[in-house]
Amino acid sequence: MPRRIVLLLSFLLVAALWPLHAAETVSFRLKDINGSSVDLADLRAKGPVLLSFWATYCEPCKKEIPHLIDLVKGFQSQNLQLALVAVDSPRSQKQIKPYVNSKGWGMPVLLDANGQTMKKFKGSNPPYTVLVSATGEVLYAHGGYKPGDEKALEEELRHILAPAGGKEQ
Amino acid sequence: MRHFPGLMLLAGALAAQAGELSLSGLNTTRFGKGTVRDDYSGADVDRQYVEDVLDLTLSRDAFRLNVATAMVWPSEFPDAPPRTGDGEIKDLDFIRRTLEWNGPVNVQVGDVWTTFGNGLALSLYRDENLVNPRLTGNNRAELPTFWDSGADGTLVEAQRGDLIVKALWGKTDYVGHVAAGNAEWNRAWGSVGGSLVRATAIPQNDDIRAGSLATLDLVTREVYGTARLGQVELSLNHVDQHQLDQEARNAGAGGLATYATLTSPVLGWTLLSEYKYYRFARQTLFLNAAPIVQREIPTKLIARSTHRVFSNENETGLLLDLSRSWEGGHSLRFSGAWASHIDGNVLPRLEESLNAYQEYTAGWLMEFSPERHLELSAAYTEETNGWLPGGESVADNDWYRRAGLGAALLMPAPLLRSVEVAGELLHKTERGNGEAHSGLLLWAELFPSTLWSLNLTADYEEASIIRQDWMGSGELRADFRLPESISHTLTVFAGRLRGGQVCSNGNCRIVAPFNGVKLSLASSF
Repeated sequence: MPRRIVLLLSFLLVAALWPLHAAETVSFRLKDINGSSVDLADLRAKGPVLLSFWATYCEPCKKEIPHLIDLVKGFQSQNLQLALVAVDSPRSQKQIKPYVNSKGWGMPVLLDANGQTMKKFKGSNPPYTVLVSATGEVLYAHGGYKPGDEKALEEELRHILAPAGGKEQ
Repeated sequence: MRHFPGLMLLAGALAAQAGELSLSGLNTTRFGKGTVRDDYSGADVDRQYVEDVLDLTLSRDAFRLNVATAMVWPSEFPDAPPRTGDGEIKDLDFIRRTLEWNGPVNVQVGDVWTTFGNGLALSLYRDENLVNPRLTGNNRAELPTFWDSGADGTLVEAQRGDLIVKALWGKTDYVGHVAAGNAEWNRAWGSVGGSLVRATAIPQNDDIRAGSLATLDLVTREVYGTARLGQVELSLNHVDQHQLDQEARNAGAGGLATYATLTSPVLGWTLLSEYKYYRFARQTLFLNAAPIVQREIPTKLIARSTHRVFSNENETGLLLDLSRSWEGGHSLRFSGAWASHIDGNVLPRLEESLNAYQEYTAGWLMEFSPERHLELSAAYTEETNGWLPGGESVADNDWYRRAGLGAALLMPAPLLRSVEVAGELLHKTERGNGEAHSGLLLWAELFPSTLWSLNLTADYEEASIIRQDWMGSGELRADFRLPESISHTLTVFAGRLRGGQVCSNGNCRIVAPFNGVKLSLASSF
């Protein structure tokens, strides 16, 4: 067991000291609720993308999404796009489209069965929000939603997407 | 490690790439000390655990190497930690190692997983560990998903225009060799697809834990399609399964499944209807996902013992769901679901001898402002859970009726950014042991800042046979960065929890019953 602990601590030390020259890039191609195939690279070609991983059974997610829709409108000059990624299991995926239709959301809603893509972004449970730059770097990630988080997210986005002084897009 | 040479070859190619190397990962450490109630004896059993999952990804250009390890000293779920072929518990296990190349085609070697269509023919998911307890049917015991659902093999995916082709071959722990292919053609009007899956057991292989599958040589064929016309969408899925081995075929292995959904606007409402007829072999394959036509979480209390469908159960079912939202944030939703075993019937028959299940739910959300809303919900479920057709007398069946009411209010609060208070009432009657239960669940979630929140839960249950039982718990959850490149989520739990869905810091998950103290630290870098 001590050997295991040393191994674990070594991993963590290497990770902490690793020279992060570049943020991780993650790619995916998912189907949307209309059956079309959507590639993250195609979305990125238009600008940075805010991915919101959610599920029909996730109440905090449903509370967060209207705020995200409003928030993205304030970043039109930076071409920020919002893509909703539903992580429902294949068993409950059919309930996504009626819910989306009843809400009248006007952005891509992608299907990520069992959250496999969310896990590539290191998310474990919805809601999970990720900002991907136009070049594919993961600039920001946050799990959970509490009332008021949208204001903190807005500040983060203003900082990250600032034309000058912020991080590179 | 049968794919070790392939992995090494791809790893060499990864190292030879000229691009920049990046490392990212997620480490989750969990500690717990307390007791767990044994469902059968009712006794409290001591439990202490320390476990860690480290998930590392190394990327360079089109290559990604993902390795995940689990270390347990011991696991929270002592019945299901990783074991050697001799049954000894392993304290270190490689739960995942996958090398991926994302070029003109996507190639993955190592632990691979994918889903074809709706998952009726093939639904493999990423190997998970430690963090995914599930509550079993009528008991509140935990059932962790501590198994290797993926295949140890190769997955190739290619897309040319509207056509997507997938091929997978390898070995799974529960079945043996799996070779599978899927093609799907997507157009604006809809899509069509087909799958072929062959599963062959490997005799005398210690990894195959389901020994009864020694003669398995099963072929599953699937066709599916979706047609869209405006807001109306119809999808159909049909699967048939047959044994290549004559002896097994004579024993009744094989079967078929049909799954259909229709989404349509009706007088300003959205209607979803689902139908399933699922009659596969009564052999546990763990290769596919049976469709479910019930709500997974009708209410928090009912969800503790919701109707569950497994991949080896035969069932036919129907779901009707009506929903509508209005300007100003109000929305209404009603649903009804009916299911039963199959005994010559195509539609569910609500007969006790067929393990009939009924479910009715209603939900009303009133959003007065972004900071203030009220949500009301109601659900009623009724099910029998006993002998299959042709078995013993139905008088021996378990029989349950559950009615639940819930309300949740979110509002601003002094000294807090906001607070959510909620409660649920449940009344349950059982025929199996003549019990009537009443339950009350109250919880409040306090949001003092964007960095942390506190969830307080009080849970009361009164049963005619057991006793009155109060329990309470608190969970604090905090998000922080230390140093700037590593983000952490710390969770501290104390108290006694019956298990079920728990929400803290705006994140909901299923947790197992526990009485004691738990710490969890998830670090992402």
